[in-house]
Amino acid sequence: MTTDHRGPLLAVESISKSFAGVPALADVDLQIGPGELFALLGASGSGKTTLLRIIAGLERPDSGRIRIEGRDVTGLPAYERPVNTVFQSYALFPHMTVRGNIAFGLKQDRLPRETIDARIREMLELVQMSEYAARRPHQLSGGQRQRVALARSLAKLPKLLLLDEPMAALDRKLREQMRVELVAIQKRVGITFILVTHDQEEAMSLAGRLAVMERGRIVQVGTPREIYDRPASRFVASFIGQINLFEGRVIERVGRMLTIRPDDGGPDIRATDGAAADIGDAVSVAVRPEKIRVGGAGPGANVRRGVVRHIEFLGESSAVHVEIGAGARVRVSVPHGNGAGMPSSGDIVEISWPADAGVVLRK
Amino acid sequence: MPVSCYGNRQVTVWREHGPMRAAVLGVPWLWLSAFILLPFSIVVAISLSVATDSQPPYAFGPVLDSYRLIVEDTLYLAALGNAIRIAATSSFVCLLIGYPMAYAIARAQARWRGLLLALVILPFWTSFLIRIYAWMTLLRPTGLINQVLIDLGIIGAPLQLMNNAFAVHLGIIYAYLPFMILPLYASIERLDPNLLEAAADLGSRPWRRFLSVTLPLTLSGVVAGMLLVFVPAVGEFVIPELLGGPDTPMIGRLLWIEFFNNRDWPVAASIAVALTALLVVPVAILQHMLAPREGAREVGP
Repeated sequence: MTTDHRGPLLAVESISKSFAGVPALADVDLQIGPGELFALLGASGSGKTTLLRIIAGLERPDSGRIRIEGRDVTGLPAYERPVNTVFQSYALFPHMTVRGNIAFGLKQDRLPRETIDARIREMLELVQMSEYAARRPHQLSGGQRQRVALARSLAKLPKLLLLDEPMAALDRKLREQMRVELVAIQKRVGITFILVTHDQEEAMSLAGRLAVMERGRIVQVGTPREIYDRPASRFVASFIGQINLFEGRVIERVGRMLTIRPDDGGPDIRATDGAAADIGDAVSVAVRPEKIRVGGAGPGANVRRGVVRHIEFLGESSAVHVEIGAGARVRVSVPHGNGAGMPSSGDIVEISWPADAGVVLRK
Repeated sequence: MPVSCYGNRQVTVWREHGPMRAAVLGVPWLWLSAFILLPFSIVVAISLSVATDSQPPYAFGPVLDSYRLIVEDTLYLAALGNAIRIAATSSFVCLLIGYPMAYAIARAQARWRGLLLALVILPFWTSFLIRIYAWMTLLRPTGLINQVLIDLGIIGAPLQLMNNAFAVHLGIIYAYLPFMILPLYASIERLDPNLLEAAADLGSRPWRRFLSVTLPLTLSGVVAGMLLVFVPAVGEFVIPELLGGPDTPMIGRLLWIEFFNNRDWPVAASIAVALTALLVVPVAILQHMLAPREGAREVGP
């Protein structure tokens, strides 16, 4: 045990929790460094909110420890932890003004009046709500309420700020705007943020690092780039972004280069290994749509032939759905750059991707 | 679309004018006029009369004699003060007992809540009078409580549990507790548990959390409960009559005596009018004060 400040700000150590016999978290470990903007990403029921509540002290784990700056806080109630939370519903006090809400946490610490006033002013400026200090929560829009909730939780300058689905109640346009603002605010205050979300786009665009959760476990931790490019499992691969999966068996291995014979009888696929697969293993080769080209195969590339069945216009690009066998479709992302030929529905095309674009995932 | 147009028009007509609106609003007005305004006017008229030996036992003045009497004779003011004191103490004790009970019911598991509420209301299935008589059999010198205490050797002689202020308080608290619990339950049940978590998260300890979040947000229930106990308790007649003694004159009992024993209808009526005025004015002020806050709460996130 150490109180070394260079260690992680937050350490989650083999936390388990079940509700009425149903496991919600199973042996979760996680370390988050100071100043990180970290996202817990998972579908509903994956345990991400339970983990957040255990870190906040609103829920007791069945086993395991929570450490903040090396100090064991597992037994501390929520009101004694240097952690604050932005609740999904914002949970603003309806009988208090915006100012009263922000002052609430500061008053608990019995800070001098001048300190409280100065901090409130600072926080109102930070979230650009200075003109609304005297309003009550019901007089504010959804976006404004969220800003107040953020200011209220940041006012105590916690070591760790937890955000539970902070954008869930906002409409799409506001959500995108708030993402940018949230990142800017986090940079300014320098406080570690942990954000829970089911929205992979939100997690990818906000977080410096993220953890993907599935059924009470953390299945992968990494930067958005690492997780997008090198998903650790089929679940992660399909949960984040769009992906094509080719099922097959490893028939040859040369260094990190694997040759996979697809189950659908198509030509062998070459891919670099991500998962230490052995000859004979059943694997999936995962390829992102934007890594696949229509036509123009380079040397050593994987090639499949198929019929264009459907084209989705997506603005910057189109998603071309190519049928390569009975019911098997490949999604190809074709950018609308100058010169790039866009196929038409019904065309017979060749699609190709280089060997290092595919990720081999064990089943 | 023709269907929705038709629907919209109907709603508009119904809201703004037309016979439907008048009919809907007319029912409560009719009820209030026929059963409250009219009888109360009669009571006011009687209070302005002079008592006679005729049938009916009064002659319309109008004179203020009976009002002059109830103001000048300290008996009435003393009884009123006593009634207010007893009702205030009892409603406060009801609050102290009722709040934790209402809180426990509101925070109980959903499947228990219905049963617990039913238990709160259960006494109403038995006649009020019978329940007060039951208390008499418990409290009187030869009653169950004294018997048990004597048999256990805790006391030598029976305690005076009845016909005193203690018994009146006990009776009122017992009889009116459900009226305190029900509105409190309604307001506590509506309280968003997230707010308490947010308060804890912001560093608020349990007791301060109660004072700064729970209590202010359930204040409407506290006020409603206090009024529902206090107002009828001030005019209570049966409980002081059966459980009270000479040291507990209450204005409701005095009114009864004036009306039935002394057959002085004008004085009885003037007591009733004065009591109503005394109770309605503060209630109206309280409701007015709470009204905007009540509206604000409905627009939640």
